[in-house]
Amino acid sequence: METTAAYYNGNTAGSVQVPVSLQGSRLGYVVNGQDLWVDLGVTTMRPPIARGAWVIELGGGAELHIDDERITSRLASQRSGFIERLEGAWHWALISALVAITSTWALLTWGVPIAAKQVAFALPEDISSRMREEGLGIMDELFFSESRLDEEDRSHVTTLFKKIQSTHPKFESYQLEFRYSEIGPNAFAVPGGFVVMTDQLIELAENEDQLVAVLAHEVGHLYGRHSLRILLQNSTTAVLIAAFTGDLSSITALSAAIPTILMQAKYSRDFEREADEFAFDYLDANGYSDEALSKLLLLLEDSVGKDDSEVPGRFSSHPPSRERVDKD
Amino acid sequence: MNESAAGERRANISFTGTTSEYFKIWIINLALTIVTLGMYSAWAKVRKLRYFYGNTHLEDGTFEYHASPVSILIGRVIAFVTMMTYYFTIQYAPMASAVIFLAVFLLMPVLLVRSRVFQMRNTSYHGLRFNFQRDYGRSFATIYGSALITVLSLGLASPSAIYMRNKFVANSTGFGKTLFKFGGGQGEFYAIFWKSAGLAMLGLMIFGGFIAVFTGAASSDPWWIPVLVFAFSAAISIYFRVRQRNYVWNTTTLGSNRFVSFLSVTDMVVIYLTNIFAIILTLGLAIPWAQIRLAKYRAEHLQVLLVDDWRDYIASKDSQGNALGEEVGEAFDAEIDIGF
Repeated sequence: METTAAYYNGNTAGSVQVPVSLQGSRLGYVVNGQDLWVDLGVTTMRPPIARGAWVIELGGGAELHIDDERITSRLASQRSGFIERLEGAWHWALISALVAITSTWALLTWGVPIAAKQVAFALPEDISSRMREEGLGIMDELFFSESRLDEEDRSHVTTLFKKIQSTHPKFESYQLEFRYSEIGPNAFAVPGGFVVMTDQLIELAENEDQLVAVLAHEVGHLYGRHSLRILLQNSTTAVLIAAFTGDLSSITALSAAIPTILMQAKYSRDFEREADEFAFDYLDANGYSDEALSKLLLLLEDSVGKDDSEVPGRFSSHPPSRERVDKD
Repeated sequence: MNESAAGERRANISFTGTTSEYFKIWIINLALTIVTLGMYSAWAKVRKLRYFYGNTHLEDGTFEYHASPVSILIGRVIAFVTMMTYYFTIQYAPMASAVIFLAVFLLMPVLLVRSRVFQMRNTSYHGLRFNFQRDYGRSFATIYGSALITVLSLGLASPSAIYMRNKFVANSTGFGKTLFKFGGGQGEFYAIFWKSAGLAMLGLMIFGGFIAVFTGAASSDPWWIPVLVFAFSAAISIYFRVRQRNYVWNTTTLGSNRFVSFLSVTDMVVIYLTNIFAIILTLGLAIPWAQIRLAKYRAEHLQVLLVDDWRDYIASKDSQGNALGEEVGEAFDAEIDIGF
C-alpha cells in the first residue's frame, strides 16, 4: 500500500513530501533518493486523538506524519488502546456521564464528610487550642464588646452550662464566655472549646429550658468538632469541583462557583441539624421541655424580623426554622 | 491562501475539532478523573490539549502537544500539597501560612518562567519545538518591576506594566532557535486602558439611571440587576483583553513572518456570555461545545503572513528534556498576565 507522508528531519521545520509504503509491519520511505524503512512494531508512534495524522518517530528527532486513512486505519486497528475505544463510542460517553454524576454526588454527600470526620477526630486536641485564642480574638474585634450582664444572670447561665459539662468527661475543658453583641442576639461555638453567649440572647430567652437548649446546641457543635470539619469539607469540595471543571477559562469558571457554594451551604445545614439533634437528646434526657429549642428559634426569627424567603433554601447556611421546629 | 505583498503568503489558521468528537473525550476524561480521585486529570489534560493542538492547522501541518502526563501529575501533587498546607495553616498556624505565601510570592518569577518553558517546549509545529528562554534575571526585573510601577502609580501606570510583561513574554518565546519579536509601544496600551475606563464610566451612568428608574417603585432588588452588572463588567473586561491581544499579535514578528489578529469584541462578548449561560442551563454538559466554539473562533481570527521558508527555522539544542520543576510552575497555573 503506497501513499505520501510529510517528512521532518528534526533539525529544521522544513517539510518534504516523501513516498511511503506499508508492507506488514515494515514502513518503507524514500528520503533524498535513499530507500529506508522502519519497523512499526519497534518504533514509537504517536497516534492522534480521535482523528488526524499519525506520527512515526524515526530516531534522531526525525519523523513521518501520515494522514492517509488507508494506512492510519490499519495502524489504528493494531494499536488502538483502552482509552481510544472508550472515546470512540457514544454508549461509553453515556455510561461515563452516569458514572461522573453518581460518583460526584456520592463523593460530595458521603465521601468528603466521612473523610473530614476521620481527619478531624484524628487530629490532636491542642491544634484546636491554638485556634481558640485566635478565633475568639478575631470575633472580639469584629462583633463583640464586654458583657453588660449582672452577676446573677451570669452565675445562673454558668450553673446550667456546668451541668451539661458534667455529663461527659470530654466537655470538661469547654469554657463559657459572655459578650455584648454588635450584631444582634446569637450564640457561638468557637473552635477549641468556647461557647459564647451574647447578652442579647440571654435576655431574649423566656425561661431556663431555652437557655439550656442553646447551650446544648453549641456544645453539640464543639463535641462534633464541626468548625474543623466544615473547614476540611469546604476546602476539599472547592479543590474537587475546581479539579473536575478545571479547564474552564477564568470568566466561565464562575459557573463552577455555584455548585461549590450550594455544597458548602448544605454541609453547614447538616451540621446545624446534628447540633439540634444533640440538643434535643440532652433536653429529653434531663427533663427539660423538648420544645425549648424550637420556641427559642422562633423568638430569634421574630427578633431579627428575618423572612425565610429572603435567602433561597439551597443557599442558606441554616435549615429553615419551620423544619427545625417540626422535628419534635 | 492568497498572495498579498511580494513573496508574502497569507495563511489562515483553521480549527477542525468538533463538539461530537470532543464531547466523548471530555466526558471520559471527567469520569476517569472522578473515579481516580483526580489522578487521571493529568492524562485528561494531555488528551484534551493533544486534541485541540492536533486540530489547529497552519498550511500543511498541525500543532502538537507533547507533555508527559506523569510530569504534570508530579507537579499537581506538589501544588496540591502546598495549597492544602496553606489553607490549613491559615486557621491553625498563621505564621506558617504566611511563610508559604511569601515563598510562593517571591518565587513567582521563577515559577512563571518554568511554566512557560514547560508549555513551549512541549508544543511543536512541523516537527520543531517551541522554546522559552530561561532568563530568570529578566523575569524578576519584569514581574517585580511591573508590580512596583502599578502599585506606586495607584494603577494609573498599569498599561506600562502590561506592556513590560507582553514584551518580556513575546521576546523570550522562540520557534526553535528563532525568537519572536514584539514591536509595539506603550501608547496603545494606554489608549485601550482609558477607553475601557471610559466605557465602564459611561455604562455605569446609563445602567445606574436605568436601574434607578425601574426599581424606584419596587420594594426589593430584582434578580436581574446582578446578572446585568456581571454581563456588563464581563463585556468591559473582554474589550480590554481582546483589544490588547489583537495589538500584541499585530505588532509581533517571527523572523520575517507577521501576524494578523482580528478578533471582534462584540463576537467575543456574545460567545462568552452565551457559553456561560449554556453551561449553567445544562449543568455543565455544554462545556465541550463552549470550548470548541471558542477555540474555533480564536483560531480562525488569526492569520500568518508568511515570508520565510520553514527550512530557515532550526531546532534549539536545549529544547529536549525537561528540567526538574518545570511542571511545578505549570501546576500552580502560574500564568503571566499578558491579556489573554
